[in-house]
Amino acid sequence: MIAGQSPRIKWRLNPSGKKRTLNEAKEIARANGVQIPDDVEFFEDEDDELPADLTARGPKVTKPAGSAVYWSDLVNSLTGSVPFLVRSDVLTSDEAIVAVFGHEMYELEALRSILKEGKTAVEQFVAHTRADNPGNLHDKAWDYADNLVERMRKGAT
Amino acid sequence: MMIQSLVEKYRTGIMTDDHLVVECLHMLDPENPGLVLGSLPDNILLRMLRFATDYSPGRMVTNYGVVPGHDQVLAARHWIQESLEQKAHKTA
Repeated sequence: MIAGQSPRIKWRLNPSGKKRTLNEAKEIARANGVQIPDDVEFFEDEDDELPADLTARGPKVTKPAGSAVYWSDLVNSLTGSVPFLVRSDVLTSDEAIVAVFGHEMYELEALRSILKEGKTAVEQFVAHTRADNPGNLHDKAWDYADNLVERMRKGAT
Repeated sequence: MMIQSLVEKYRTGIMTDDHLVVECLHMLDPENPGLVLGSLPDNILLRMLRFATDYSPGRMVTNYGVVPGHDQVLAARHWIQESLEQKAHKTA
């Protein structure tokens, strides 16, 4: 769940560079077709941890080769939620918000059903979500994100 | 990043339990593991012990970032096990 591979569509900045709050961003994403489950939380990258080529990042998973990844590995046990860190400049573009939030939620929901079977090895999990694996879940999530932004633009005209 | 900052991020939900475990292991000085481990809540120490027990040098896979070093993981495992033994003696 690393939204780092370039989507096809270049996102437009908000007029006057208006920056959304995270709550506003979630509402904008939902209004444009993104389903955000109750067990997901977004956080702004206030410490600038994310490099310039990463718009958002989900939980870190580190396991011995061959071992299974479970849904609970993605969850903070105190909050019960899956955290996503979002780069600050994403919040200055409603199109970026819809695309990035849509991308992450597409990946996450696909992983939810896959991981709950308890049979996904860590290598498969990484293959599903890494940026340099054409045709994988991460790629399909960017296609989904592009479609959301295209619909958003058509709706605005 | 200071350990307190990492723990705070965990408590506010920004990172998962396992993510905190790995980040703390990265910061750990094998010569003085208590500097990092002494600040961690018990549930994280138990999680770290499980990670350290399962750790397989040269065979760890991660979705991003660097894997903690074997020396760091070994030091953490010994520190946590000793800490648990000391607690067990105190309550016995």
